[in-house]
Amino acid sequence: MARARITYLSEAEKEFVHQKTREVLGKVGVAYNTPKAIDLLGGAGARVDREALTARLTWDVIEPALKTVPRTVLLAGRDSSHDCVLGDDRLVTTSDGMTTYMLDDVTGERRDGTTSDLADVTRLCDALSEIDTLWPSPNPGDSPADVLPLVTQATMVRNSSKHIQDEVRTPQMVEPILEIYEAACGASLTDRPCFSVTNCTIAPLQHDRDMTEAGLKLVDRGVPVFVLPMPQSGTTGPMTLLGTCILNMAELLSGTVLYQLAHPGCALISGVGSAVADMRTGGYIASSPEIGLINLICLEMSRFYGLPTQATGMSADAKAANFQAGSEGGMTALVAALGGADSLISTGGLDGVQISSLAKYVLDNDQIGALRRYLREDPINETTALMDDILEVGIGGHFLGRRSTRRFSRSEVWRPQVFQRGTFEEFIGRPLVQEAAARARDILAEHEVPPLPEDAERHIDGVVSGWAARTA
Amino acid sequence: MARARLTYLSAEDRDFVHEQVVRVLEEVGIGYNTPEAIELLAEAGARVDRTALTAKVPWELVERCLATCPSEVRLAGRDPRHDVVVGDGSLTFCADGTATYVLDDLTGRREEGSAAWLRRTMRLYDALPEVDYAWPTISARDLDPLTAGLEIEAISLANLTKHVQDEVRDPAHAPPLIEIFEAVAGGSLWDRPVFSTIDCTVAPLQHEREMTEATVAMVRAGVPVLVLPMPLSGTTAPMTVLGTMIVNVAELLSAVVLFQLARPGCGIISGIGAGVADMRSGLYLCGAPECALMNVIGVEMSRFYGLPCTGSAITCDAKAANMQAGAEGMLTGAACALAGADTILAFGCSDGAQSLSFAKVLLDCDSVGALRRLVRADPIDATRALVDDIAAVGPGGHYLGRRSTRQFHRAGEVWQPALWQRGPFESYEGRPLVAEAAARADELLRTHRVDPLPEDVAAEVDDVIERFARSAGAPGARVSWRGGDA
Repeated sequence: MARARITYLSEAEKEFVHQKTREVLGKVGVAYNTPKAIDLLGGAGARVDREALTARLTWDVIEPALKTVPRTVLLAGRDSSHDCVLGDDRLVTTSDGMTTYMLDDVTGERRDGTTSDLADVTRLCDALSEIDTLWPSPNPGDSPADVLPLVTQATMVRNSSKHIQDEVRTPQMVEPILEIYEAACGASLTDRPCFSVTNCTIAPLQHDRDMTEAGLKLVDRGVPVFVLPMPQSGTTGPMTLLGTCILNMAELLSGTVLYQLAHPGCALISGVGSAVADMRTGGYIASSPEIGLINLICLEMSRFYGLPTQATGMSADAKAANFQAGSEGGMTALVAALGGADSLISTGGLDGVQISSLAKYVLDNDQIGALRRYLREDPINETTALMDDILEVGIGGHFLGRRSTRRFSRSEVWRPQVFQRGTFEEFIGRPLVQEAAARARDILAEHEVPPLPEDAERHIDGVVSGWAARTA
Repeated sequence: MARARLTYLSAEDRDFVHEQVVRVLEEVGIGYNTPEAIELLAEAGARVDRTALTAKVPWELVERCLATCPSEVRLAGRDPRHDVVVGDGSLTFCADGTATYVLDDLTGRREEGSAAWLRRTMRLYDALPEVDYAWPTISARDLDPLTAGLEIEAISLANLTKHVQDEVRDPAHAPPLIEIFEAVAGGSLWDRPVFSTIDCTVAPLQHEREMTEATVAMVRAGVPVLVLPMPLSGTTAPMTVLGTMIVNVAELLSAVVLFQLARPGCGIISGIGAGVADMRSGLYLCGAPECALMNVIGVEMSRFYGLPCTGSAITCDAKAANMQAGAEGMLTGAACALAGADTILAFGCSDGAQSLSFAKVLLDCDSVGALRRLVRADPIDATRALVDDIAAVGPGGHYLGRRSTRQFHRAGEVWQPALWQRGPFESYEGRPLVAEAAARADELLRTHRVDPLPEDVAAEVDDVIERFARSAGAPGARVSWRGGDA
């Protein structure tokens, strides 16, 4: 079987990175900022400072935690036909988030995202064949801040029956959010985990108290947790890619230890959110060759530790769904996918993931389709070599009429949905972005998401309005 | 040192591919279509058919010929600072071709290529450090067909101080071209190979007589050859990626045998021109994922045989320098680069290599820059781990002021694009990327000065072309390679 794979570190180099990560965790330690976390870690034998809320972790504390992390994770959809299993050898893709703006693909103008935009983008992603799970985008900026997280979940769950993933920033939000999902999915999250949480550590080497307390509750409720460190080379991480990766892995292990202590065997995924900073502006760069390499290092180290993975790729810094978006996004996505990521944060983002573009979701859908062709295992044998045909056709013959040509033409060659193939003349006056934007509008006009049961709708409304009333 | 590497075939897979290639060479054979070639093969012990002009090529003959192939091939520039060595561990990029049209990315209109466009194109390549060497990317339809084969190369060499690579289709062109190249090189092409030739085999399993005769003459004068099979899945090759590449590799090795027999020790580069036919239109696709996998197989098999190789990438099927173009080009480019291609065709072409756009040339330069950073080997050691900084900064600190940050930033830890847009959205309002790229190309063309050919060399080139023109019966009044335009 031929299988395209990208490797980076040698075995000795992985061992080196592992030693350095241990050194950071053992000597420098991590600021958990969360009393509950410190209690758990102190109880497990870590050296803690209860005043500073920091802990130093040694391998005897880390190793047992790694052993209890499940290798595969069910990410359920409201509709079980959209279920994915992360870690079972098929790349799981998610749309990226959270953007702030919507781009008008035709005029190039951007405006603040609204709840209606979030509904549209969610429904579009629900329709697109290559997007498996969803992050929310754009931010529903017209929603009052206090209920915004709940409006986000409610909007998403109404507009997609695929698996949804988001941050949960405060412990108080846990119950209302889970109520929304359990109402929508009609089952407990332990049985049907139709929601998973992104838990971002704060570089360098910190956890946010509110998000951590939320995380501790969530793992008890069966919600898979994606630990996502996000150091940026040169600002919140060291300038070298290697240094940034060591920081990423240290933060990642610190989260793994914590959540496995809190709930041994909870579903936990190593996310790679590390990036590089634009040293002119200090701004975040979403897509660059360095991010490809950072992903490779962290994916290899995550596998070294036996952890399932989520990498970053395909989102762009480009300001439109243009050449740059395709090239930079293609590079990071290819590297992450062939680097063996179990899942990929991918579609839809522009301008450092600040902007959502409908055209880009549609075009990214084709990019993912292309990527999956790269990932496919291909048997290398007499049948696939078509040796009989080569021998019979001989010198100067033709393969067009061969039965094998008909037989393999569908399965061998990936077909795009929107990318343009054919004569130049066919596409005069049909610029790609406009076609993609039109396709998005068509999808939005036609695509229906199965509505939630009425009682679920009422329940969800109640959760949102109840929260608004409490905070009013 | 860590280096990103892509692998596809296992060792068993490679052995299997090799066995099938040997079967094809020995059982099916090759249509050389060239009496001179058949004599060389017969003399070397192959079973030939002098009527059909075919030969069955035994593996032991292939092995003998592979042994005389150099593992490194120098491609010299008119300016020696631009010399490229294919197979020495470096990764270089060559401008692709040959496009029929020049595309205006701003209007979407295309026009046929001309001598003036070829001049401009080569000058642009001369100005761009990312372009290591070039094919004459655009065909010059206004040149007299009788002398175009000479004038295209003269134009290219006059407007580019880097190496030029191109097909030579007519054996009658070989002697005058060799004279021209030797004049430009200032001596033997064995010392300064300022030109390399492209030998396109014809799938399945054939050579074209005129091109073969021309190439044999060229290699005997010291011109390195890029062997470029171009089987197309579903039409001139079987429908599968694997089957197509078996045909590609068989044709490659048949050419290796021929040219090594013609001139042992000549420089040969393995090219991969395989593609997929779009079954709806029958048109050639070069940006498809299957094309990338074909290239990866080609690179892996070339390395298996010890041959330096050229990957085909960056050129796309998209009709403009749009998101599809970026994606297709980068996916094929990254696959080739990470698989270990020594040199890669890139820059400027779209729509299955039918169109050239200057905006795309500039945008492709950033793709190439990104690829170079991606394949760069980086040390994995204490100096890069920066654990001392991590310890000093601690939880919640900041790296901005650290000496290591300045040091590694200046040393190029993070690649900086020339044109790709990073930074606040507001900075780029009203500055669409393609327009910026087109403007930059214009600016380079306005400001860049190419070192002209020394006048005596130019005069000699003129003389060679005039003599050939007279012998070929070309009219006196025709478009000249010298031109007069900007």
